Amino acid sequence: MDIADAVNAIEVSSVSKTFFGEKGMVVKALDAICLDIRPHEFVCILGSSGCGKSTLLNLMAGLISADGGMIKVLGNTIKKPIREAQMVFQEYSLLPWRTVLDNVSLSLELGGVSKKERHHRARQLLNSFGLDEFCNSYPHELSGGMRQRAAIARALSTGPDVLYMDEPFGALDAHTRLKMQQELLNYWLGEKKTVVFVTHSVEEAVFLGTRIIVLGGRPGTIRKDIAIELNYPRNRWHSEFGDYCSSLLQAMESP
Amino acid sequence: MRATDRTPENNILRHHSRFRHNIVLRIIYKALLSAIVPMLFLLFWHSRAIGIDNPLRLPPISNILDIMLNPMENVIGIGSIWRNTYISLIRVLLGYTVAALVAVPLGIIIGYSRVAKRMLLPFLSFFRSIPPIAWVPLVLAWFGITSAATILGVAITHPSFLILNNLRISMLAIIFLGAFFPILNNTIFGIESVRKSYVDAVRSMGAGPVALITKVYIPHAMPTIFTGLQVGLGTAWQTLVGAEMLPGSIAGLGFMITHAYQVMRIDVVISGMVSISIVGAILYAASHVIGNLCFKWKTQGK
Ligand SMILES: Nc1ncnc2c1ncn2[C@@H]1O[C@H](COP(=O)(O)OP(=O)(O)O)[C@@H](O)[C@H]1O
Ligand SMILES: [Mg+2]
Repeated sequence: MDIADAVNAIEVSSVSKTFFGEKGMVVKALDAICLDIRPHEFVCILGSSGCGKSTLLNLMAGLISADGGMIKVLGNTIKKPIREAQMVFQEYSLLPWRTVLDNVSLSLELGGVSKKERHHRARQLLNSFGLDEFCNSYPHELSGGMRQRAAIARALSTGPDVLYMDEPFGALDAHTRLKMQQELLNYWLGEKKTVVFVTHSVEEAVFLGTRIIVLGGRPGTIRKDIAIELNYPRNRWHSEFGDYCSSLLQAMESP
Repeated sequence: MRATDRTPENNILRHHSRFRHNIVLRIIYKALLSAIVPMLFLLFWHSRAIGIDNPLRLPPISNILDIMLNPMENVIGIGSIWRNTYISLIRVLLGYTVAALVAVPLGIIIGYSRVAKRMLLPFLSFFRSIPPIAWVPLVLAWFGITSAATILGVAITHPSFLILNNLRISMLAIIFLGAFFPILNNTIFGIESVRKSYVDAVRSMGAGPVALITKVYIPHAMPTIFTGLQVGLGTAWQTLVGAEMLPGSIAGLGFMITHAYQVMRIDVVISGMVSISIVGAILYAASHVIGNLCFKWKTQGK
């Protein structure tokens, strides 16, 4: 491992992505993205719908491959997903035919952990997420917020260093959303994992992130990359909070 | 969880139990409603049978009841209804099982791999609209009267010979063809309609193709595959009569029907038809019960 690897948790260097759709459609989703993320940063990728946020996250996660350029996560050149980096999706990521317990232990199951051991660890996680009484429920029996909690528990089950989150609270009602944001922050303040969090909500990004990257345009490029220098817990009614929001909104909306 | 105990559905349930009397009436009402048309039909049959007064054209209902209520009795010298049903059932289940064992894995491969789909589906689709009966001449030319007994080399004196000799390869092939496409089509459809977000989620955990197929594609497609297996069992059962009309056939409900026709026993023909219908209904109901037990997660919403 050379020094650069130790400094950055994630390195994205001049990465572009073109999709070739079903009917000969060609969409260039991202163009020449360069981005370094240091360990323990909470990076929010902010942009309006369709600007390539998910594409960038999927590239980092190794779910899709770039046209060119290079992506390194924790020193590994990414060609496919690695165990040290796990992902939380917006919705429909828990398998409906598995109980919550079997869903949360799936990642461990794929890693070859014995049934007893993985159930034990999944139970512990579900406990700490307040879902212990739902171990044997099926996902459709849970509320949206509980489902996302279970999805986060699953992502954390293998003890990853990096957490990717693709609009994880996007499908929740406003109240649950605020609660989940706070819970995530509390968790992150305790563990300080590297988090890359995709959102289209300016206010969510400013509430959560240590750093915000604004994506925009078609193909998507990096419009703005700023640190949020506010202490946690952040006050949404604070004037500085509002200042950050309005300058970021401007960056998002400029053509 | 407490809060959800008082959902509107629960209130409705409580209401229902208070008016249990009402529910019984409702069931009787529904049963009567379903019985009207069959009753009219039987009445019409009865009156026409008396009017025509010729059992070769339309036997009275009592004749059919007589045969059906004595299923162990030898009819027209070709064995009892029970025995013929039993032989038909073994044939169908055997041909059907082979069809399922081929069609399900094939469907999974075609549904999963675009390359396999391109290679195999156009070819298979070529055969799709050929009805199983149209295969009879070819199947006969290829398999003749070879039976499971011939293949296994079972001697004529062996006790299992009677059954095994009735399992003609040509018949099994026709039944196979009847079940194959419904199972294949449903399997392909089930695999192809897997929600992409499930695949992405499990892929992001580091699953390779094998884990994806066994942990996502197959479980997700199971209800659809099961529907295919259900439909396939129905169509296999329907091809039975055609299959048992083949030369060399000496038992089975299909054979019973064609043979009874040749000796002008229309009452036996109709009894054979009724037996086919009853067994078909039992198979369908049984598969339905199994399906509901296995796929609770599906029937209770997503
Ligand atoms: N698999 C795909 N095939 C074709 N086009 C795609 C695919 N995935 C994304 N795109 C296109 O790429 C662009 C960026 O998509 P995405 O990254 O999902 O945006 P966001 O997450 O910011 O809403 C969109 O125009 C979208 O239509
Ligand atoms: Mg997106």
